[in-house]
Amino acid sequence: MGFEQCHPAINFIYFAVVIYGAVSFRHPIFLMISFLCAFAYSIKRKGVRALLFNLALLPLTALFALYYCSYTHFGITVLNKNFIGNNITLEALLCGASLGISASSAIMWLSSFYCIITTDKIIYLFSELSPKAAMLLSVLLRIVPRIKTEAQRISLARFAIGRGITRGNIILRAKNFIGIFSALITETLDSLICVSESMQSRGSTLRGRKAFSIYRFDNRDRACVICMFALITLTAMGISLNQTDMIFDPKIIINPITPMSYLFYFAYAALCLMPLALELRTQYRFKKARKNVNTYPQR
Amino acid sequence: MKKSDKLLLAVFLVLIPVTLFIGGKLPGKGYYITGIAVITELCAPFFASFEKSKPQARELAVLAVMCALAVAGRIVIPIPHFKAVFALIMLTGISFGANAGFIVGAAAAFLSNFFYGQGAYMPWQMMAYGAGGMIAGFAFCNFKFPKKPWIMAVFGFFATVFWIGPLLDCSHMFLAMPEISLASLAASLASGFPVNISQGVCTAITMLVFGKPLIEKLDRIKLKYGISEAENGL
Repeated sequence: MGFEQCHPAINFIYFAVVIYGAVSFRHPIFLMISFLCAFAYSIKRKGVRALLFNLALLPLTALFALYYCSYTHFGITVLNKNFIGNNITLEALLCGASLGISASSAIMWLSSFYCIITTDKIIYLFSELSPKAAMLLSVLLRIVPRIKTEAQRISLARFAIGRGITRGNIILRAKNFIGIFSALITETLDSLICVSESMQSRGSTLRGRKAFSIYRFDNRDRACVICMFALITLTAMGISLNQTDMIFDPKIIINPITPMSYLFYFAYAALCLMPLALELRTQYRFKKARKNVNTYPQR
Repeated sequence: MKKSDKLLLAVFLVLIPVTLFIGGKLPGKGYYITGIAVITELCAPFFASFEKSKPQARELAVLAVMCALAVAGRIVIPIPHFKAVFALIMLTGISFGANAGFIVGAAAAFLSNFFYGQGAYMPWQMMAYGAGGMIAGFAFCNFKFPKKPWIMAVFGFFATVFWIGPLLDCSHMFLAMPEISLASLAASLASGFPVNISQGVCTAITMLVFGKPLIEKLDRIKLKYGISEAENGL
């Protein structure tokens, strides 16, 4: 069973928690756990493309750390002086690095989020709250891909009559671009009105309407919820004991690591690895079960 | 003057200043509450303008597109203090009236601040941007200024420099200055003046270049879908 086959509410809560953790924790061990798990899981979901994307994030993280320490100057460990005479400090460098790592792990989590939580799941979840909100969301979620394809079509048509953005000198190109843009605005206004009118005519905003759904809450989901909330509770205990935090200004301060801390690390790592483990276990069981099947019956 | 316009003026002149004054005293991230209160108050005249029927999805769709355009006009131009956002808000007001201008301006300020960072100034910006759309709506819809590009450009310049800009600068006096007095008001206005000039120039240029085509598009939409057929509509 892949993680995407759990109930949508579980997927949603899981990603909300994990992304919150990736963004708000400053402790290096928690940061590394989140980063590595997000790295592994996005590769499991999306393969080589995710690997290339994630590797490209690493130099960007390093660049951000350098940029951050070049314009903030708190801290007591002075490494160097820049050309205006401001201090470049170790604390600022590490703070920038931790911000960069947490941002890049959040991006990686988001990439698996888009892979797992598809539009129909979002609409299913929101239609429970209010059908109007669900209709608005479904229009809004479709608007960006819709505009993209429309822009491609318009620019192809303009190219065919010799007014593409690759023709002529820079002034002509700008003119052609404005023409495409203007057509795009007209089209967006028109199509958005049409879409919302037709959805309203078909009763999308009627009271009590529910979206199409094939989801039910079964025993596997119950097991998932129990595991997930146990791990979330343990991590939350870590938060309330200040185990996930770190202070950079004016000096690097971390709470001492006690045997209990290892429990929190373990809980957070297990939480982050949960979907990956679920999918690997399914794969393994599937392979094992397949060995017992005689594909060609022998006589 | 229509009933909804009177309601809009009442909200703008009385209710919103009171909200901003009280909201300025909220500690911490209280500015989110103030901002939401400002939006809620603004919605009252907007929904009152559809006297009998509720707003249809098509009106909201058009306003959503204009709002997205205004946000893009603030974010896409990489030059600081040289943004097309005021021009686009005013164009909404010019073609759909004061109420729509106010709503789009306030929403554009709120949404574009997610890219620039929210702060205590956010409710003030919503008020000032919305006021820009409102004054354009009053001038071109109620007082029937001719919708020619150069008139819109001159109007946009003066409205930005002497109306939106000073409203924004006032927030500096209330939020950052130690005391509220005539001298501190003069200081905030003077320090904001060059910024207002450059914003006004950008507004005028945008009106000259994009004013006519955009107004044409919006008029076409109004005609095609009958958005303002009765005088009580947008």
